[in-house]
Amino acid sequence: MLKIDNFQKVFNARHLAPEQVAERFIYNPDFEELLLGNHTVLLGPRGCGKTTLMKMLTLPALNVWKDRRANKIKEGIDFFAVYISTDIYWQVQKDSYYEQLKDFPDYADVISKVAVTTSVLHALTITMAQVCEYNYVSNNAELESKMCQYLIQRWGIPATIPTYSMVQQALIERSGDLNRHIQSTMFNCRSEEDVRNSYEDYFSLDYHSSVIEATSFFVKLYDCEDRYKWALCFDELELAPLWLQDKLFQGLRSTAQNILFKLSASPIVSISSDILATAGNDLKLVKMWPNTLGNKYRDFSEKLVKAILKEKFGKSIDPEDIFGTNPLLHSGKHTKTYEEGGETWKEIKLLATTDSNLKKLLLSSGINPNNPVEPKGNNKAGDTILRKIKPIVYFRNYYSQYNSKKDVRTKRSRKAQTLFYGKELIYTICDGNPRWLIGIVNGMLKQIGEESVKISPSNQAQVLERISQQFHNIIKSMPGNEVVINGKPVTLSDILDKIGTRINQDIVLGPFKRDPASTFVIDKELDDDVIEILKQAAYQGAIILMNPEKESFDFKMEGKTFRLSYMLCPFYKIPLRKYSKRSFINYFEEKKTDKEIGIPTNNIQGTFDYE
Amino acid sequence: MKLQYAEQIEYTDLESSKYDFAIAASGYESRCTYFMNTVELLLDNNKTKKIVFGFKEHNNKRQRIINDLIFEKMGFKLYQAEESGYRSIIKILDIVFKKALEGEGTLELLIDYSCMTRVWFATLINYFQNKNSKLHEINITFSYSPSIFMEPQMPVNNKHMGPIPGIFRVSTGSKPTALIIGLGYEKQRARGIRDYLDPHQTFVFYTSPTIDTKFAKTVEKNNQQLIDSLSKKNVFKYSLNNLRSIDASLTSLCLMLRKDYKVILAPLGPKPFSLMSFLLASRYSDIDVWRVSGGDSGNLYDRKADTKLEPIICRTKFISEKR
Repeated sequence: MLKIDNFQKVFNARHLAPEQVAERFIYNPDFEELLLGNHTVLLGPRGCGKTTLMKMLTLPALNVWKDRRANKIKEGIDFFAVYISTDIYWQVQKDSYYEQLKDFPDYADVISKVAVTTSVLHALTITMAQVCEYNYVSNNAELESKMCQYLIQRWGIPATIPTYSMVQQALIERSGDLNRHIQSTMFNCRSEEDVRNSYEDYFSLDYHSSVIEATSFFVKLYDCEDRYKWALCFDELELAPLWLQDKLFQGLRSTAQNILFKLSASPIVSISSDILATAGNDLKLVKMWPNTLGNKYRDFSEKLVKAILKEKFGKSIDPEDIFGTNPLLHSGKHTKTYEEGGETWKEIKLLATTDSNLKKLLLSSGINPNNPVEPKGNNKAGDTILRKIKPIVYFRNYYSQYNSKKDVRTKRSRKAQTLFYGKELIYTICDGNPRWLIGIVNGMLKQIGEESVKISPSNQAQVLERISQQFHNIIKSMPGNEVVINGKPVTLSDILDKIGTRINQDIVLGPFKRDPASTFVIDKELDDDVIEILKQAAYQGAIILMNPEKESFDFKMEGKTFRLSYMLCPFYKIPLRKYSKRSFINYFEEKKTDKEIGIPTNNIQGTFDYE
Repeated sequence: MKLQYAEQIEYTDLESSKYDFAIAASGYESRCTYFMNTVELLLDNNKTKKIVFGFKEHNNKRQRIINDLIFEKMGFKLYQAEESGYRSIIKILDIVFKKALEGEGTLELLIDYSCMTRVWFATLINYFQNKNSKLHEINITFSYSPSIFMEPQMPVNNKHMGPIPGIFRVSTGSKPTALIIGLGYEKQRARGIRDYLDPHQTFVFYTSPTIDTKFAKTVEKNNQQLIDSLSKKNVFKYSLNNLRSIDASLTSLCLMLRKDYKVILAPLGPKPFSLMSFLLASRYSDIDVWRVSGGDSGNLYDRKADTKLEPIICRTKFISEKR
């Protein structure tokens, strides 16, 4: 049996030191945006590369990075990045696991703030040491001692040797003290007042004012250049408590002049629209999924795959030589395939002999079903129809057949899904997730050993089918409550199954339509818990937002259009294409009503692209 | 209180022991009453106070009703708690142990955790470790009755996944995570927590060989994908009735990892492995323990004690840090 490693496991920047991230970093345009000296918010699903970009801002990463742009960036950057990784324990009030602090809500609030402050101060101390180490200021032991004496005094640290490493150690120990304080409180205190009597002095420290104070002192002490600001880089903000999210997003509107915020979060921001700053000169939003990246993502994917191939085979290799090209996603204008006798011509002709709806459609568009060539002259509509129906025709020919009565299509069982192969498909199926891309390519390369030969379509399809299944399993085993839709309890994986199965039925089995529904609009009347589970799906990359706001945050699911992650397409046997919309709730209605909304079927634009 | 030592003892060693309190759990499993039945005479001779935690959920199951009656007949006082009821357990303990904790000297406890939820017996350990008292030491003997093999049911969705209540591990810095899973035989549990935490390193422990080979075979079959994805050095097999060996392997692995990693233990399998995990976490304040459960909709198993096997007994000594 074909064995595939955990495809998500590869190259998770969260586990790597900035220097290790830099060793394999491939420049992408989003990084350029992040380097600007203004507040930046990176938005994207899990695995899209946010942590990589955030860690690349730090001095150790920039100093290790070997790229022709590295020196220019290193010299031109006008902030010092303070990388702060979110800890799930910051969120002491949210989850049921923390019900033990329910009796002490004020204390829970204080604990959350102390935990955040301790982490921020620890990260700041690391950055200060790096600024000295990389000689942005004079690396002088006397100044380090003075600076650390100041920190020890201001942050209430027990007496220790005044070095950056000892201050960091003291802050780590503070976390241990805090854990002991919490456990003792839980078992011994009966009221908030009991707890308040045991508060330590450092409980009142605030991370924001402490950072402003410490950095100001640092700048003066080291006579640091005025142009440098301090960028607080909060990664994975979706895991942070709401008070912190509110405070940080509010901070984007106004903060001290020497402080910048670089934040990374889920595509759908979970806070009130009143709090959110609007994008403009002071705030840059970077949305990291293919809808917003267009060709840039394809270029980046190609670069990444070329780098993997070069590392494996020790020479430059065109990905097409290994993976071939996919007939349904090839971006070039392959007119020959539509010509008489061409591959697409054959597929359409074959289906038109048995499918009366397709036959009618072709005739109404001025196309001869017995010779479905591109119409001559100025018949753009006919031309567009051929391109639009091509994936549907291929999928129907491949996955279904007519029964003996020639009126009902039935499923055809296929061992390997040979519609899923080719370099374009590999780039597209990852939906902008570089970790998936690396996992897939490595999984496929395992099959050919050390020789750079082409991997057969069926072998590629097997890998993709298993990875698609793995992704589905991941979603299925995620913790979460059931929600009720149309009176039935469902989990997130049930929701995805319902949508995926329905799309498959419409495209492969139902009456032939040139524009079947394959996307969904979130209904306004959905319950909050359903919205919450769909937000989780967006964060996990299981559903993709199709029409993100260009210049502002997407803070509401309602009214937005989504599609399933392309990674799920092999699992549900559906093409990597977007077609028309249907309301979300309609996927759960037993009776097929064709309640499609949005794009009218007689107004098909030329959309033969990836997105 | 700090844990001074833990040791595995024989069933016969209990005969010379004297307990102030005995604590058990009453639920829908047939084995709930098995151990306390076998030591009933010893408890009666020593005038041991007896309490039993009863599950608030599924309390109308036939076996539960029978268990309650047996415990009542043995003189156990029943207290009801939710299966994840961390706070309920503390409230019960505050009531039961108020006087005992005010006294000086030693408190001797006998706890049968065979049918307790992990939250319950983790809370018991944390309670006696963290509760302020004048006691010089608390000796807790934990007993576990192995069960007869039962085929796992269809997996249910993971509802809860997170730290065991009562254990807080706020951390500073951004160390990568190392996850150590004690494998159970239900599908989806181990894979679920691994996918959720996405750790840099994963290690698994499972019982093999087992007296009934079906246990080991089922664990391997239902976790095959996970086991296959790991390097051999990340897979540890252990014998369920050798607590010393479990503790030695777990402790040395955790000590090796904690310098570079944030260590999370996820004991999903047999409860003696969970006990060793909780005791380890009680010694090292940076080692975290997580749980995964299907919540109220989780599978129910009426496990019967395997009467051919001796109970697995662990004696622990907690001593006052003031001494």
